[in-house]
Amino acid sequence: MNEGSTAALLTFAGYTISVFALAILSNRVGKGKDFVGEYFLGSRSFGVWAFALTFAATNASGGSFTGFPALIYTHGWTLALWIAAYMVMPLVSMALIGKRMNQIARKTNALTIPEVLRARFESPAVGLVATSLLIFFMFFYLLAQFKAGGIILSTLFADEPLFQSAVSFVSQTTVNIPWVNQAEPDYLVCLIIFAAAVIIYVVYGGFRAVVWTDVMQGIVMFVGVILMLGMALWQVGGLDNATRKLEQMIPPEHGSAILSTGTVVATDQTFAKGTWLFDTGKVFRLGELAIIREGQSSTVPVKILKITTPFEVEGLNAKRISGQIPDPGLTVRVTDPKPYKYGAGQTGNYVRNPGPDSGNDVGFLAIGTAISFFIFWPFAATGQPSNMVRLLSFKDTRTLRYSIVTVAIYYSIIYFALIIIFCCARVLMPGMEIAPDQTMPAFAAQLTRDAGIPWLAGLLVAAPFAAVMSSVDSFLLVVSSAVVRDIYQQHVDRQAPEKMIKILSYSVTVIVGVLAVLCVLNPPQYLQDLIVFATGGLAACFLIPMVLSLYWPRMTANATIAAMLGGTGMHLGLTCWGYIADKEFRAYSFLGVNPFIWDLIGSLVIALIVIAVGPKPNRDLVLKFFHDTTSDGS
Amino acid sequence: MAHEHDPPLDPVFKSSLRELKWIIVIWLVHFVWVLGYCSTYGYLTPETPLITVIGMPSWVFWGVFVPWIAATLVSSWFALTQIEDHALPDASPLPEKSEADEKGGADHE
Repeated sequence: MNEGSTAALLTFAGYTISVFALAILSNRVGKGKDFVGEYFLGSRSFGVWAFALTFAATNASGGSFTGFPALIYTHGWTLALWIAAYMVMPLVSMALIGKRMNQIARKTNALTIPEVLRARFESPAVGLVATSLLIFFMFFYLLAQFKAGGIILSTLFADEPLFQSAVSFVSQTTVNIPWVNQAEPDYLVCLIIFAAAVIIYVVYGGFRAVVWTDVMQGIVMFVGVILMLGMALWQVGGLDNATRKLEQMIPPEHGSAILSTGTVVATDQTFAKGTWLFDTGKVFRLGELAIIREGQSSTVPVKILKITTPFEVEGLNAKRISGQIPDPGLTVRVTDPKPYKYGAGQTGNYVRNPGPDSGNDVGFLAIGTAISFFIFWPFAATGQPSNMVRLLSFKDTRTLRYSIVTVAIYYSIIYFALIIIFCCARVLMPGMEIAPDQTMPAFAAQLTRDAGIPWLAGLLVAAPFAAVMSSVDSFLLVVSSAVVRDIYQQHVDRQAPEKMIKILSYSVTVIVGVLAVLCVLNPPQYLQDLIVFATGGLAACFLIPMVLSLYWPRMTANATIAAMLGGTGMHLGLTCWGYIADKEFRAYSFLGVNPFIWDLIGSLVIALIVIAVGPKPNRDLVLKFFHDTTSDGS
Repeated sequence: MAHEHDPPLDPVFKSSLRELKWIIVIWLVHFVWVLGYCSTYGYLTPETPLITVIGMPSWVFWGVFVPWIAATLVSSWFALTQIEDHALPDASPLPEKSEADEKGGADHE
């Protein structure tokens, strides 16, 4: 057992114990309080630190620590512009609707987002449409985050003998179980561990446990990022050195190659993904498992990555000569080179916009795309129900004000640090384009190993794990509250006793979690696209109706339903158009504009039409929500 | 919509609406700053000499880093001094089924 994997295991064990301890504590604190209000909203009692960090941690999902580092690594400094709208995101996503929505939720005792809309118009139809759309889109989110959790854990445990034994046992046990046996055994073990941990603490501790663990996870993320930043800058020799080296870098070349030993082999020879290959001074990295079969001397064409930056080639060859990197002694014959569509053979692209891109001939971030993202990030975050529901939980407006400051500072540090860290990673760690999603754990392992403190890798890798966990727990609770509160309590039995609601809440949380696990045993091929689909869909569905409901007295129930369906319809329509036009499960960017903006326009226009031709709003509701009926004028 | 004898507007609604307008203005100012600067100085050809400021490409420093600090300061100032405090109502117990619920909707003249 190596030191690093033992540390990883101990870190995970310590982390899980802490999470369960917080769940037990929150269960005790919640005893004696109204169950539904406590389980789904923590009795609206959260102060600055709890509220700020749960908001920050929920937003910073697994993508911030897996997908975002991969993008920085692949495209360079242009990601600073891509993510720039995060500078105003805390203010926009918390203050735009926070105070007003919290007030209406308190006035009507609403605990969920569909309930806020339902109560605002006293219309069960509004609640039902909102609940249905929320469950539909939110489930895709859950799937993606469960998958990310399983993948991160499997990276963490990869070299652990105890884990390998468990994998072997599970592999033998599940071999005859249909559907389950199609999953990779290591991924299956990690998925089960991850899901069991999350489901148990959510069921036991409810929203309060979710918030408290978010606080802990937010701190873990912060500490992890700061430690990585220090080590990365130290090892790269300062930020200026990193940027100057990035300027000299040339994007690598993807492609296929046939690998040969030169002689016929007596038994099968396998070469793992990631193996370095050296041939007459050139350096390649294997992009997938390669096998030379018994009685043959070469492989079939396999994916490879050709390193093209001269100082990287020199450095890797030097490591080969010194024995730090083994040389399998294969001849590499490239059969299908695929240079980058933008930036191939050129230096300077990693430090300028639009950034190199292997699949897009206008580069990664054309100016139109940059404009779209500056609109998308803050307003899509405002429209996410998992964020909105947190805005129902702060105890007073002072908490909201101070939390905006806290999250603004937190995001400034975290996101800018991530950009710097993974620009340094691009210089220090060549060849990760073969598995960009592994950049974060791989760089954590390399940094700590090179610094002589491999045990620290466990803590650094806990950061993305914490990010995924804090998102999964929130989504799990949003979906289960939608079922229990918005469907059962509103439409089946309004007078259901607390014991019944309790059993139902626990059962739904478990069932939703188990269903999500079953679905991601074999994740669909286009899962990443499904995440984009769900994010855009939720914001398209909820942002315009919620803002108009809170701020425009003329908004009606019919217009709210129309806006939700209009935004969703536009989103689905553009997605279908994208599929027909580009053969990709991705919404079509009509006139080059981000589909999210079209979704919002669609939602707004249809709401305005319905308001113009439909009945006037209920005057009693206008008085109730827009006038001070407690004043003398009432 | 408003009637002569209506009670005054809800103070939380009034202040939230005022804050919403200012938030949009703050977002817009940063939008113009970041996109304006970066589109002018961040999309130069690879042959253009690279200028760095504290280790970052200069377009990142002036077009992202400085506005990011400004946005954090403005957000903090706005939250601490411009967002009004209000006493939010206590959540009441779960309301009984209303008449409108029974009818299945509430839009009417």
